Amino acid sequence: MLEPVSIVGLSLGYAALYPYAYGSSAISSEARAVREAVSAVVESAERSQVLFGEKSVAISQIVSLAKECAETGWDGDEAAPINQAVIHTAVKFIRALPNDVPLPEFAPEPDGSISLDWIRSRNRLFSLSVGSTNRLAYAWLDGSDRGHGVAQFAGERIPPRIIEGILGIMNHGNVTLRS
Amino acid sequence: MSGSDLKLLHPPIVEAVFDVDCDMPPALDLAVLEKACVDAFRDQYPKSRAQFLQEDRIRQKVDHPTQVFTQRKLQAFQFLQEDEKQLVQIRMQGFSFNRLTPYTSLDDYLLEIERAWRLFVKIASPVQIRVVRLRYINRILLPLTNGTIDLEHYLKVGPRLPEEDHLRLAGFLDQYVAVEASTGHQANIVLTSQPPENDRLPIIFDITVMSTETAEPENWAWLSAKTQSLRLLKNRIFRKTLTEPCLNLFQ
Amino acid sequence: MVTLPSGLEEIIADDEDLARYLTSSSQFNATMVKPAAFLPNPKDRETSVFRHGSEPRDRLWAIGVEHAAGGRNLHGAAICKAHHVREAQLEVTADEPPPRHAAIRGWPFSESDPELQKARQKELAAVIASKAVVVHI
Repeated sequence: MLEPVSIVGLSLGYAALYPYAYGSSAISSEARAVREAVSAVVESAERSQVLFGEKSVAISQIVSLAKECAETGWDGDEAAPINQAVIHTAVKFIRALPNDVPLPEFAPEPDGSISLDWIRSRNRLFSLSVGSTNRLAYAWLDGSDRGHGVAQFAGERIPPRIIEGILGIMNHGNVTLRS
Repeated sequence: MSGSDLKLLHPPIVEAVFDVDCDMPPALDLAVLEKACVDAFRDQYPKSRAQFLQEDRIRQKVDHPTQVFTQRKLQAFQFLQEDEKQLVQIRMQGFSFNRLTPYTSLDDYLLEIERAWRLFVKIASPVQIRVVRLRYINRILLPLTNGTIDLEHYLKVGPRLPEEDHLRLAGFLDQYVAVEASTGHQANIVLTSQPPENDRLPIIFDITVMSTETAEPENWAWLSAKTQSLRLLKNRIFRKTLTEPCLNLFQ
Repeated sequence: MVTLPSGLEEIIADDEDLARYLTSSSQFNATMVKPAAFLPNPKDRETSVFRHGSEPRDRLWAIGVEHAAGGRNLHGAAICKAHHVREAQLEVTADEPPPRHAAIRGWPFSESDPELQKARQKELAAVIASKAVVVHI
């Protein structure tokens, strides 16, 4: 029976398959068989415009940005290039984003990270940096309130406080913002 | 046979994984820990491997030689027993203990899991436990009769066809996510078929149960209790997915 | 009162305009300049700006092309006031040559926790960005 449960932080739908499709700590040949079977399903879903179209566009934007900022000094001032590990993590983040959370805009950062920005207005925004580690730095403005924090992202589940932060700024439901 | 005291003579487990995902210290460099890890685990796990995430970029311009750029990022150290049936992993995100077949009972491995966990805490200094996860991958060989099988005879939960008369099931992948209301523990179940082998249809029954409660890494009592709670959930899922005829295959 | 080679006074007044040149179209959108555009360079821990407002426009672009773009295409400039930077608890001081160059300094840095450092910087960058106006090339 399907019952309402708190789903913040749960990976649902195709996102629930990503831990199997994109690597886990299991090493048996049966684990590999599961990974191959699930990967086929995930690849099929990601070819669908309805199921994955917007995320596919977002991933293309990440790749384009990385190409634009692939060399040192892309800002005219010794900015570090965006490397493959950063692209990889950013793409995993987008894949893991629940479907009811709006997709961000992207911007390059001088240390080679990618900034994911949810901008509602100039005084209401949530900004998160994807770098080369699995710790995400984020900051937010909400009128005169503001804050910052760090959250872990191992590649599967986006921390609930990040989801709540984004939804709180973008006004999806009554969510209390906290740092 | 209840889900809490599941005892099978020949359990179909091919791999059991105990994962603990942690907040690791900021600016952790896994490479720096290599010697300490090798020294700590060498006596029980003489083989070691580093696991990398490798990205290959191929650049091909007209009339130019192909250029390949490779970037590798260290993801984990694996420490294996001589027969490679049991291993400990020190990962960027935490700790894993894997036991491959032959597998007896979690009770037989808990002491070693505790020992390895305490070594991990001492070496890597994790800040906080984030996720505790048990993953049990079972491979069940179901008998075929004249190349066919009635899956409902063995599986209480499984694939169904819209037209039993005109469609023949050629393969399946079932997956669902559930939350245990009383504990908040999550279960992610995958059931999939493999190509038939002689007179048998292999089914992979992959159960992952996890808790996202946070805790101090030094608190083994908490971690042990959490593991037992997850184990009970896993056993209930296993027991209630399979019919008695299926369970009898493992006795 | 010290005068710099550019003819400007050494001390940057609160109501002076500062221009942060934008070399990527991703650094701004229709609403505002994005916080990332103001983050400091990790090598010198500063954000490079020029003491110039939106007008005269041709001189704004000339400065950008000659001193800021480094051969890249300029997409625009984000203009803010010096007091916007100071209200974010950062310093902005003259840093010539090149002419009219200034640097935003005092960003939080923490060797032991680079991500927390970045998070703090992002908050301050967002505060400045919320006050800046984008001038398109």
